[in-house]
Amino acid sequence: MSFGRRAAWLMTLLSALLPAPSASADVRLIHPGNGLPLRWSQPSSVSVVFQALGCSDLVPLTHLPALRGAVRAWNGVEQSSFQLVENTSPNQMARTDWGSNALHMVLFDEQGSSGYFPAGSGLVALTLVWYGSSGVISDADILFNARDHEFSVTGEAWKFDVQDVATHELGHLAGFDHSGIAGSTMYPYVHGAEQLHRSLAANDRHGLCVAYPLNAGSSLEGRLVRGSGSAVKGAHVVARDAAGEPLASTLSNSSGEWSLQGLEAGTYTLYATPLDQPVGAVNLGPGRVIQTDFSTTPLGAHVLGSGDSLQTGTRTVRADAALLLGRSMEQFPKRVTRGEIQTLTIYGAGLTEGCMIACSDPLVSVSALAWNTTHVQLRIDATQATRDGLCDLTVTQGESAHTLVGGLELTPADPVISAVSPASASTAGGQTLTITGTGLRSGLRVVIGEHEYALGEAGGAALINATTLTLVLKPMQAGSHPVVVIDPTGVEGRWSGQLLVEAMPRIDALFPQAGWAGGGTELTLRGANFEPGVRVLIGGIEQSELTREHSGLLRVITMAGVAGQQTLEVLNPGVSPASAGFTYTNSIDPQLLAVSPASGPSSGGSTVFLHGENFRSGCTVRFGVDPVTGLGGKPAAATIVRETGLLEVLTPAHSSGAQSVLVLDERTGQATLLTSAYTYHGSGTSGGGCSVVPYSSAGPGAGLGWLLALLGLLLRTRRARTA
Amino acid sequence: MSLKSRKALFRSASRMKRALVPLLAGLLLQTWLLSRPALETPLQAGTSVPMEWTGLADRCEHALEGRVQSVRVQRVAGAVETEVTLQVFRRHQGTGPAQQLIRIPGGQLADGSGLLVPGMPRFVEGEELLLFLSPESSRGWRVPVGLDQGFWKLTRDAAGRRLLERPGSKRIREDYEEAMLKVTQALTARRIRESGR
Repeated sequence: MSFGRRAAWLMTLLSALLPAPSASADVRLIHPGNGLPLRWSQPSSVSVVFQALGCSDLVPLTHLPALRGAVRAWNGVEQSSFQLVENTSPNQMARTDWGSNALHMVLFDEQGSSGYFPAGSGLVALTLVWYGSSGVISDADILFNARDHEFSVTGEAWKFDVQDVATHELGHLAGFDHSGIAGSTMYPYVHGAEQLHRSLAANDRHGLCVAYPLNAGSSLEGRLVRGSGSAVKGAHVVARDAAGEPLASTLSNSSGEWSLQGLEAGTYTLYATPLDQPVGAVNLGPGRVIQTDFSTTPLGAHVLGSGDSLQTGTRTVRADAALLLGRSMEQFPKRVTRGEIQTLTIYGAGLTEGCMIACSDPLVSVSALAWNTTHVQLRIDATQATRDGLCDLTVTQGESAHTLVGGLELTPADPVISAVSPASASTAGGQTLTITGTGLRSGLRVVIGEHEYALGEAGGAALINATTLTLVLKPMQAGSHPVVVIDPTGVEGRWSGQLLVEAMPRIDALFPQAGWAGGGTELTLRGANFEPGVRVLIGGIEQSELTREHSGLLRVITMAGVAGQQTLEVLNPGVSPASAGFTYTNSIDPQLLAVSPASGPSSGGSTVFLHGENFRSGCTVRFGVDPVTGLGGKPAAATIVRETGLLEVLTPAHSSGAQSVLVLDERTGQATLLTSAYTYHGSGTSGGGCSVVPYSSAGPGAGLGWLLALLGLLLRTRRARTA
Repeated sequence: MSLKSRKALFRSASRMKRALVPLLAGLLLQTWLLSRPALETPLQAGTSVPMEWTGLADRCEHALEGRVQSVRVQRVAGAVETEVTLQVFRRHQGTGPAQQLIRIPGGQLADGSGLLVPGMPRFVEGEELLLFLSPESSRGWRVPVGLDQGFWKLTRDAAGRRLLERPGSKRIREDYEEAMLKVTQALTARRIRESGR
């Protein structure tokens, strides 16, 4: 027998000898063989990876904030050591081998390639939980069935909300089974566009605190038996707080014993109810016995002090009754908006005249409008309600009762976004966005494109007042993005418009930064996001001679302008411009046409002549500059203006190779640049043995220089005509 | 044929037509309803769309009644699966042998380790079931349509009346005959729809 098999037998034997553990939190997944709750051995850092491809139904990457919102819901539970840690490594997010043991991946199966979604199965998502014989979870992955179902992050009707489904599935990943509380995130069923499971219910939070506790808290214990004295197994025991919210629940064990742990000090109203619709044994994993042959039984109110462990004793459950409120075919929870009166219908059995119905929240009034045996129509008055969260509904007839646990969820009205300013933004981010509206409150998140902005977090949003919040946009994809405010309860408000995000042009370098007001200066703009259709304006005048070399480089030959400092703007269609300063001067631009000799040693120190036009005193010369931006390079020593068309310089030392040469008028900012105008040779060569050429020399290099100069002049004249 | 006979035949045909019209209209309505996106029902996580009989009949490849003869768990490439052998005693949809083998994902291995798929129904030897089974996936797995929703226990009440029971539920029991009438209607509508394609 292998060690693993021996260990399994040992665990089974131990589990048989020891009393079966009573579920001590909202329903845990258990090991089917020995009943031990499934759990992570290192709960403080359970890694998850979100497959980057997402889902073809969605704008690329917009699944990420939805999934992160789901993670945030579980990570936000105080008093629990459980933390999901997202691995955002691009390499990890690109992986498709989701079945690997060390990888806990969330992905959308678009082709049915996982094999877990047979056609017609009706499955929307699955969590696969791998466990060992001791109950430790060794791996878990979440699969969305994107082949057969459509998903949404924008609240589209008939599509499944990614965050809502993901929050539920992450609960399974944490080790939870389905909950018997109808408004719980771990409630087994979800409808299209459902959003209320995005936020955890109180019992979900309590369950996590008990499964992975930081503090022991207080506890309540008891035992349930029938009139015959037999133990009631798998009874759903629920504790409600003074406001009527079901805070914690558990299932009785095979001896009828139950235990609610991790409770805070307070007064709790207890009851036991059969786990039979809308959630039942069929919704739970294997290994449980669920008995339902009794009706909802009050177990009294109990005051619990801090650190108390209170034994409530053995209680006899009420006899079974054919009374039922809530069926799995219905959508739960039923949303009840605070401040409003509404009617709704709940299905069940035995709902006849003579029944009474009540809500657990004393500030919510419920009355039956019509009893129809299989359903009841209710009037819910929540005008006085002051809290968010779940409420129970209990129907009674004589001594019989049935409680729909957490079937109603009190929420605020949807937040409303009335304005977003500015309405357009750059893909580069960095702009401050102001959102105004109503229903803005602490705990909310803003989702725009692939990013979320949580209130109070670094890089998140800031709540200025109840009607205004601001945030600084993160870099994001181009496109039109919904702006969504998500309330802590999961309800949301969407702006009627969309934030237009486009690649805003960016200027990294402008060369030269000044030019003759008469025009004709050749400018190069290096930057990013220069889109087709880009325009350049100087001093408000659109420049007609514009060449877009590529998205990072523009060339402009300036038009005539007014002398002085001007603003140069680069505009993509429909987006705010990028701008830089540009100066028109009254001086004609300098023009470098040739360098002679055109080569020399890398050690520098050679005298060379720069031929051109309009060289003025105060000019500086640099060798080895960037041929586009004019930046960098090394300054030449001892620049002498021999005449307006001739400079004499000493070359600086430079590595070998052809280099661009720049002449800059330091006074005006005007400049001229000649690409590959001078070639440095490595040590051992010396520019053809002619390192120094006298000004008056008429050597072969000088002759070539003048020839180039002539050619340059011809070109210059032609360009000036064009301008 | 005499004129009287022809008139009688015509009247009879007219009556049949009148009777058929609502029937056909009902079937067409049902066909249209079934062709709509199936989101009127909730999901389970193992999350599925909630369904009534029509939804189950519309999606299944097999609808059958049978007894669970054996359950065996085995490790397969990258997964664990449960192999269930059913002794089939009635088929409502699909064809197959009297002993049908189905494989579902998940299960516990002999060494105590396993793969749990929350929401996946559990097969117990000896149980008699009505199952609505999906087609096989690329890995050869079938699941009950809608997980628990396509999984019904066959039972009887104290008076011997045949019932369909949601496993573990005392409150949701369907009269077998009434339920099967709905299933048959739904399957008929499906066949009409499919033959019209």
